[in-house]
Amino acid sequence: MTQNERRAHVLMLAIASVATIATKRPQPGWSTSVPVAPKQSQLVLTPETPSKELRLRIEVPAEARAAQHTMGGLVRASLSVREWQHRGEDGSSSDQLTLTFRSDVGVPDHSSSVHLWDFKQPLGAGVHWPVIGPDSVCPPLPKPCVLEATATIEWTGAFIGEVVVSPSVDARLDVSTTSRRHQEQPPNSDLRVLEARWQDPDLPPER
Amino acid sequence: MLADPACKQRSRGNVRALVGRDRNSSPYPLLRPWVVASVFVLLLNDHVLKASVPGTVTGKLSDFAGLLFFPYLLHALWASVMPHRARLLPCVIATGLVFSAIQLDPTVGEMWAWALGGLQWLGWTGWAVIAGEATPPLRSVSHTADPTDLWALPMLGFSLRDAWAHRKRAPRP
Repeated sequence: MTQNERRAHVLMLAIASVATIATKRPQPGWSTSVPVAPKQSQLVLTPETPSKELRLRIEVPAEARAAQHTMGGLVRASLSVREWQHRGEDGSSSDQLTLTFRSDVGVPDHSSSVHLWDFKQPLGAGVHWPVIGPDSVCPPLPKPCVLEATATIEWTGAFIGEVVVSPSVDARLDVSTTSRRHQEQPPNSDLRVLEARWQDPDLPPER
Repeated sequence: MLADPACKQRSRGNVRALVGRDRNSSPYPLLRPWVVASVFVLLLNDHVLKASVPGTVTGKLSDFAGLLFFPYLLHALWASVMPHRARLLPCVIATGLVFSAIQLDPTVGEMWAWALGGLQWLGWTGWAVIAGEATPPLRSVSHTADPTDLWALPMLGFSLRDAWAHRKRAPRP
């Protein structure tokens, strides 16, 4: 046992400890978590500070994922953003709203196989905007409008979908989910938890 | 400077200590070459490869590397507190049980995520105090229970073999 070995051991102990502790990234900075009841719920969310982005996170619980996965099921989640109002940091308002649709933001070793977001603007010019793939930004939207976004997801692993509304808004959200073990069968109520939270935009989204 | 034989000897000692070539005689199993390598594989994978090459391989690589060195890390931490009572075998068993639990039970996984988040928070809070910045909020880390991660459990065979060999060498009362 030499002094060099002792030093090397202490150094390795420190490196291995830090490697273990830093092996996982922190959760995104959710400041509000609102579990949503089964089937359908309405939420009214107001950001705590104007700089916060509204980030609606649709999450399928693990047990439902497992049940759906083994049966090759589909999950359908829809949401709408209503009566939104821009809250600028300087008190200004904007006539445009931008939504970013994100999907496949689960852990890297899981994958969702199909993502299709249908975007509608019923009170506007009848925009129908299908999006395939993650991080799709829709064109700027006129105000006022009612938005409906629908996601149909068939997954092979974890699924987490997000809709980011920017700039920050006061928004009323209607969230509903249905899941189907098979397309021809009636919806079941396996989906129990949805969350809509405010996220600090300075923190990276979970990927 | 290296022409001096004593200096050369010290230099060899440094290298051996770092790479663990004297693994049979060293009282520091954390310095075994594969243990050191697995720590750096974990760091490289978590902070570089997962982002640049996301996929199944990088998703599992950290589990394999972590299970290789974690029993040795646990043993070293134990030995630093109780040098004469630390044993490797309980560390191997505890690692296997906890790793399995956090992959199979979402509740245990959540507890694990908060424990790791708390340790990270301590580090960042210490840094914030030194830097005179606001302390960060306490957050859990991202963790998804994934039973397929249990494929990495055979990596505990390395530390289990060491623990078994040490047990056979230990003098019987």
